[in-house]
Amino acid sequence: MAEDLRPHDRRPVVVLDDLHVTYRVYEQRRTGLRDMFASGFKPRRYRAIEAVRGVSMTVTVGEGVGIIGPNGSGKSTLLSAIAGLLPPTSGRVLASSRPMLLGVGAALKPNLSGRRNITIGGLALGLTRREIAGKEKEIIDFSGVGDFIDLPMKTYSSGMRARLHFAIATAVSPEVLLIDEALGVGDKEFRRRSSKRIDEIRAAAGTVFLVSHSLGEIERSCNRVIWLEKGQVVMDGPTEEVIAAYTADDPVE
Amino acid sequence: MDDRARTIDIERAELAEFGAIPSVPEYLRELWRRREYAVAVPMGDLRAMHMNTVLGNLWHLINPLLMVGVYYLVFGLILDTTRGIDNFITFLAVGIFTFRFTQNSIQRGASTIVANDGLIRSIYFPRAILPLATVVEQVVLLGPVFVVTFVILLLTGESPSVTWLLLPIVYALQSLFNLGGAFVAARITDSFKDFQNVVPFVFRIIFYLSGVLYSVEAFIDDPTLLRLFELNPAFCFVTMARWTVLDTPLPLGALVSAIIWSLALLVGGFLFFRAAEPRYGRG
Repeated sequence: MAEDLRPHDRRPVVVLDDLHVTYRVYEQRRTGLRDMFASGFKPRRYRAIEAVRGVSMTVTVGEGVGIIGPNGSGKSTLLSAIAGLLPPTSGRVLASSRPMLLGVGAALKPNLSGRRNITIGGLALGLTRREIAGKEKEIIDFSGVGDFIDLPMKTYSSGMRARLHFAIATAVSPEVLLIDEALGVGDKEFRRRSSKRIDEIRAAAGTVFLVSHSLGEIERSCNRVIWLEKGQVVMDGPTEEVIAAYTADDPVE
Repeated sequence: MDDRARTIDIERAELAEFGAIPSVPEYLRELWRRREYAVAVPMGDLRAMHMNTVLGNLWHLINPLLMVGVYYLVFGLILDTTRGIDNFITFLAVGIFTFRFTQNSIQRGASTIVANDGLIRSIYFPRAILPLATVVEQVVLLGPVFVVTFVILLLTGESPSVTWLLLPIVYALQSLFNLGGAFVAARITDSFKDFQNVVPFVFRIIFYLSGVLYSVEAFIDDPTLLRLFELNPAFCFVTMARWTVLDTPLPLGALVSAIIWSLALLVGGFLFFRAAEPRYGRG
């Protein structure tokens, strides 16, 4: 494991203490009556998936933490657990304030205009109407959707949608922002602007976790990288070192 | 990892655990803080509902009118079940609106957790917001229902009375009942998706037992049997709503029963819903 290079006078904002997250995946539902009789009406069987197995880390203020690893290594589960959306099976997640997952998209309504959705998304994230009104212009400008802002969101391209989601979520200026594969859809200009925004958040005493398969994106925004494999930390250290080791381990990546 | 350093860090920075479910007072405070969201969601949904139709939001007004029209055609004119009732169309309209207020709140409330799992998995907020938003939507839809009710009242020659002003109060009490019911239905549906398919049939049965289409008093003479009807909250609300605008009797038992039902279901339903909160959104 990489040496801990962080100075100890920096304030910790997120602490994971031997975090385990296990969730149940139910096996295919029995469909036929005959199957139900055959199985004697026993409850559905499930498999316990140990998605995160004993992850510990201390993340201090202003860090940009990239999380990399192959599909199914537990990256998204780890983010959900940090956000408090998936309770740990054992271990603890401690944070200075509630970490926010960049997932405002689920709260938005495709039939409503972007402008109305800014209000709904902002309220879902816990802002007040007054706060949202104050940030509306900034959100619209950042999203770059222009005149589309008064059209229903279902008319947006996926890039426009992603930009608006990112603009709404970062307008909340959370102390801890968790981003799960949300930046890949945008064009080059959006990627440039979003990594600039992440830098701003970090500079303003915010902490960002970024899950991505794009190592370039991680390099742009993170000073530290966690390499996960089968729910465990393989390596935790400065971005260049971990990415170098990760790439050496699997040349395809 | 350096365990000693980590312990010092945790003590110095005031860190808290956010995965756990907050205490009831804290939960209620958080719910209050998010109240604007519980209104914005149904308002947005209602706005979008009829967006692609020619008549648009007028449909919120036309729907209750059509519903009463159909029931009046079938039960008033064709089957003629009007015996013992003076102003049958108003009697019918108020009964249907009142009953459907509860039915829609609970039936739609049932799917709130299941239908919003994507939202639940991405944003933290007290999940009670979701059933609450459904009930708020039904309350908003009462607006056009009031208009239709008062228009029918005036068209059928009823002279305005002070008791008409009590109708919103009956519906206010009823919305507490509905919210409690929506809480219960949402949690049960989250555990057993099958429940959603049962709810409409349960309401069908209650519908016929609540005197929506007929006057219970006109059919039943036995006072003991009438007492049993007062255990049915839907019957109580329908009876109370009618009493405010028509000259129908209001048994004290129905009033007491409605109040007890509402408060008990609201508190019990809320606690029942909240107790399973960590499970929501996990499939």
